[in-house]
Amino acid sequence: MFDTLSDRLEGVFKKLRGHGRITENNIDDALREVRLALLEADVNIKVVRDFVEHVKRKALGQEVLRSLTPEQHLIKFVADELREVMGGAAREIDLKVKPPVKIMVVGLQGSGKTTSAAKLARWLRENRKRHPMLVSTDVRRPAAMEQLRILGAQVGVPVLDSHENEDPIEIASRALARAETAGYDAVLIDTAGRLQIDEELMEELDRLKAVLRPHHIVFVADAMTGQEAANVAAGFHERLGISGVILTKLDSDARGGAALSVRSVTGAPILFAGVGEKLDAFEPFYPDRLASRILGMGDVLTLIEKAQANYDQKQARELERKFKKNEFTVTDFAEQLKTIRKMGSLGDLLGMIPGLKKVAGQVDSEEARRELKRIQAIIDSMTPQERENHLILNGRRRARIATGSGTSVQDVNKFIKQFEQTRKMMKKLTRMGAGRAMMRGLHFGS
Amino acid sequence: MSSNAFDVLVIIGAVVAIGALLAFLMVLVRWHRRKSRPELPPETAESFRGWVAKPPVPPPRAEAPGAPAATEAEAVAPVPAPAIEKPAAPPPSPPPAPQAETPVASVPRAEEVAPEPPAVAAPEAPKAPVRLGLGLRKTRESFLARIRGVLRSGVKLNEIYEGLEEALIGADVGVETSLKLTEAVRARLKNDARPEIIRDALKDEIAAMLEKVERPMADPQGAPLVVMMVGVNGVGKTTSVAKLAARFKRERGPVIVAAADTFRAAAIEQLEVWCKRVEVEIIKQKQGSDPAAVAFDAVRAAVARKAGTVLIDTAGRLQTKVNLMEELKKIGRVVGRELPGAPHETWLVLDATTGQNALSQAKIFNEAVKLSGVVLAKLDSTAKGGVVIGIAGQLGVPVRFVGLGESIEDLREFDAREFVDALFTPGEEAASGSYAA
Repeated sequence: MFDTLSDRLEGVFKKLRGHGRITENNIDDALREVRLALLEADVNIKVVRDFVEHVKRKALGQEVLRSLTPEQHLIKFVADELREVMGGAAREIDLKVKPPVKIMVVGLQGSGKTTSAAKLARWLRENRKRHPMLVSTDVRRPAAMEQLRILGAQVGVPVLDSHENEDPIEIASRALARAETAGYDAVLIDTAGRLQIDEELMEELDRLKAVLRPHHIVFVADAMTGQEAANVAAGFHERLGISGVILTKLDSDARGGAALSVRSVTGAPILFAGVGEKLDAFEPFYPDRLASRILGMGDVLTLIEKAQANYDQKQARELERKFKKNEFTVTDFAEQLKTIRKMGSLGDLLGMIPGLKKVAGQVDSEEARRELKRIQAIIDSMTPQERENHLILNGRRRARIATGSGTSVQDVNKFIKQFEQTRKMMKKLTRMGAGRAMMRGLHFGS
Repeated sequence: MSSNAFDVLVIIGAVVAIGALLAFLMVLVRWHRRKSRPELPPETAESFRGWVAKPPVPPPRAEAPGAPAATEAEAVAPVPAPAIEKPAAPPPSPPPAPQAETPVASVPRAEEVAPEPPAVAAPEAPKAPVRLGLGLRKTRESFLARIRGVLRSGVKLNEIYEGLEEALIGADVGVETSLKLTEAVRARLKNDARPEIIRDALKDEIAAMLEKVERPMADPQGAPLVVMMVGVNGVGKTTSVAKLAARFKRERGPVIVAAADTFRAAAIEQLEVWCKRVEVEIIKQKQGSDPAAVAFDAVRAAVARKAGTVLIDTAGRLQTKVNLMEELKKIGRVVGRELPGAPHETWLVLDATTGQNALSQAKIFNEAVKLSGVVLAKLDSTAKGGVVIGIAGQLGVPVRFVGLGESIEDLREFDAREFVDALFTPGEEAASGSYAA
């Protein structure tokens, strides 16, 4: 639907490939594309300017102009720079402090603080064998405390009882006392959402910080935030000193330029990514992954993770065998369709595979979606037997399926014909080693 | 990092599966193409879109016969500095006329390019125009217009426009829309270089764009007005519903609120608290129940009790979640079955701090449940919410209300003029510059 940042840069670099060399002039051309792409991805305009300036300086300083493959160098520079801004390798939240480790969660309204707090608590318990405790100091938003209570119950982490007519500061000190006596080794303090310019509420955070003396102040940033991400983050950072960032709603189709803005303004590492509404949809943030994605290498690693979550080894092997032996049935196809739909929209998934972005747009068209629906209806109207062996579909059966699915016999014929074609194609592909292209993508990624 | 045997297999499985679907769909698309009348191929549309987003500088230059001379003129003008903004790049003109040979050009540029003058390879040039097709002519014209302007009034004009463009981009208007707006103003004002005139013209342009799509709310003809509120997570749907409930209660009589966010923890409780404060009736079920059923009950109750308005608070959902968008469609259908014509209004709640993704939100929500308005929440933040301009321009969806705070009264009817004024508030410059220090 839109040109993504990766598309844009891909375009630039394709153009560069067409040229023999990079000159100072076409560096500018290329960098202007980089600049535009970043702006469209919601990276703050000033951050963009700095970034481009940096890349240019670095690229020119080194021997790009004389190198044999200058475009490779520029790609590398842009990639390196992006990675650097994003914070290099994944950073883990530092838990090596005298327990209880105290983590305060702050951010704008609706950025996902409460959900993130619960997710982080769960993560600490599951992945770091901690005994965390949650507490809400949000006395402002109706039912915010109730929300944390429910989420806490869902992740199996105790939530301190607090009330809306209590003072947040009091709740905080009560939480510390409770952690002490009950022996919790991690305390997560959820705060009310607030604007960075709301003096009164920012002061409340000051006081909370003074009472809690938290080891970490984690800023929750919505990946969909626009130009203001930089100012908001800066506002919180100047006031409180942010030690880490949780980037939420990364499962959206937002290009996530906000991450770059927040990171370059605060210098704080992005620690975690929220990737769904379920409480386990929470993972360490890999800056290089986002950088790779930005550079059009496809988000292969994310795809792997999605695949892992939805397929198991046996299933995958079975599938491959079926393709090779040409035993892939309509039943299998229906299964695939279901699994893949669970993983997200077809276009999204394709977009993660390097080189398939163009196709991704087409598959996501309204037309394709309607078609997919029709196919689903046809499959649903088949008997199990027919699904196992589509060769038994004679005229009468086809007519029945057409009536059952509200389509025409032509549609059914079309489907069967296409299904056969697909099978043939897939057989060929598997023989050739369909995974090869993917493997290459992997190497790029890592 | 993860390339042990297990992973490889899983990947292959996934690829094969997706590949199968992909292959299948490709066959479909081909089939359709063969059948359907020759439309504009999607690739063209795509590249055109991409083109619009780029500032119309290099390719037209390469194409337009008069362009090279004009470029030189630009270079002669005393601005060697902002090379990135207005790239002094020697355009790869198809007939390889090396820059160094053009006497005018060689003066300012000599130091830059001197070491390797013929380095500017040509291949890019012929390719671009072919791909760009339709869009080219228009863009070339405006480009020439720009050049002419520069010739007459020097650089200052460019700087003014660049400043305005940056201001717009900084207000989340988006690159594409910002350029479109400034170019429209420029085409109208030609080379008038009075900053206030230009800024006011730009304001007019934006306000016109927003006002053009404004339309009155649907008239339910005596039945309760059913408004469905949709949006992604955390934009402020529930709060907006509460504020609207207070307002509609005043204006249209009894309001019934449907707690159709049955997913998020404590969403129902949150809405309940609000409804108690506003003193309107709430129809709810347990968390996890069918949202369509809740909406249905609310509409039925409203019809029976002759309420003025039904407000349906739906769960936040990312526009990319296909099944959740289906759920939304279902709510619409079910409500329409109980009361034909309902939901009369479907409003997308947008967070003013959201960037360009709001366009994607609007597009996809609009495809699923025809949007009839936008509620721009959190406009009391430092963000300007400029993305609604693009939404109005591209989708024709008007902004209905703006949210300006956390209390019930903090909801105002949208006023294009006011909004545009805020977009250009001088204080903004200072605010958005603060972090850099």
